[in-house]
Amino acid sequence: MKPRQSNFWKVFAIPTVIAVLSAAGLFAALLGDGVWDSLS
Amino acid sequence: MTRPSFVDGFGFSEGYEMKSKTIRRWSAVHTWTSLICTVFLLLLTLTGLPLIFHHEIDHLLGDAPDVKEMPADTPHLNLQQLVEAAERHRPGEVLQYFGFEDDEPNAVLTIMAATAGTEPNSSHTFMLDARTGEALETPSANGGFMLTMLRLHVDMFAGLPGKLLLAFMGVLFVVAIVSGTVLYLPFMRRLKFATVRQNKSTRLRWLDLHNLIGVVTLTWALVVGVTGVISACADLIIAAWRNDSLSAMVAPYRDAPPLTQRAPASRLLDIARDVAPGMQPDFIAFPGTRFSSEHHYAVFMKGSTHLTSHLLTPVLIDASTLQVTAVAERPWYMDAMGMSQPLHFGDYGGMPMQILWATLDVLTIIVLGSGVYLWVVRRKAARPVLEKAESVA
Repeated sequence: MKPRQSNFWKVFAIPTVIAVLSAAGLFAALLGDGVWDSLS
Repeated sequence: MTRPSFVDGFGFSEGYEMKSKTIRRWSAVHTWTSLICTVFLLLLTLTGLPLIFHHEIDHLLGDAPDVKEMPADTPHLNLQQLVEAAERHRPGEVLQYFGFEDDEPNAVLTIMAATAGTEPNSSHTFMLDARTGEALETPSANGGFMLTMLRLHVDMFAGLPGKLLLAFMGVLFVVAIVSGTVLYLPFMRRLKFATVRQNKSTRLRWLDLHNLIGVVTLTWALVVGVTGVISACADLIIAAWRNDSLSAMVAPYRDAPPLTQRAPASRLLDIARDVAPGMQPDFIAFPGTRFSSEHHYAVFMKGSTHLTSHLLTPVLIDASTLQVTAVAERPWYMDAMGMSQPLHFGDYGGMPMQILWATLDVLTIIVLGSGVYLWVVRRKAARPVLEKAESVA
């Protein structure tokens, strides 16, 4: 089982980070009044 | 562990943990869901691109209403005066909606039609200067290039069936994204993230690009896909709301005689603010529209924060007595629809967000195009390779 797991994370580690960051960005922009307003 | 080699023209040929049969199934799901929805998705991404910048395009084309500069403290007309100004502007028509926009506090978005129940595409939209009652036309809301883009994007000029077809295509798109993500594992098992094999074949280069761009845009495409499906079902959601909440609230009026004399609209906003403190008006539905009843004004109030500004609370006001009949509960599906719209439009973060949306939109077009290319090339190559693989096995 072990090699399979490491394989999974080897392939999906960076995509997962990207996915989490984009989700956080999308929803933070939707919910937040602060930082984003000063940018836009 | 090595399995017998598996070659189906995808560009991987080593054994790995995922069973080849499983991969074949997922790839069939990915191929067919993508192929069916691709033409529609191309239409949606191409028409979506100008829609991201509709404000800017309206200004460029001179279609944006030019609200006059006046001293900041110029008083506003009351709502009844605006109603009369609208009726003078389009005699013979009735008011359906007044809308209030944060970025244009001195004008009121006005929608009129032959009857209150007229469907939205046959209505006429313009703005009224809230200080003078002067009508300001908004040509792009009633015809021309941008409306054509919008209609192609929303219902392909086919009404509810068009919307539901696009909603179904959106569901296929989401399935294609999920199956594509599953397939990403076997494809990338032996490759580092973001590897694009440059010197093998054009097909491999595009396969790598398809996988890379696809996985990078994954979350955005899922969010825009799912929220697009929800928005495409808006008519059904509104119908459900009318059946669930609205019909119960206006039940006592079921046998009431038709409204003949309507109380003036002047104080509607004050009445609504009194029962929904801390909230802002978003729009008013006049009696007889699908957002009100035959006997009520409905003032839709929104919250004052970024998040709650997308969640609407309707205040139903008796159109003859101006008594508040009910402050409606918001069913969860109306909230889901309210939250979906900004996430789909990308209109909540100013220009940086619009540029991000446009970039991701173009990247999605590349994923769609390369997907079709890969399918065509694989079809040409698959047969002889498969036969060879089978004869080896």
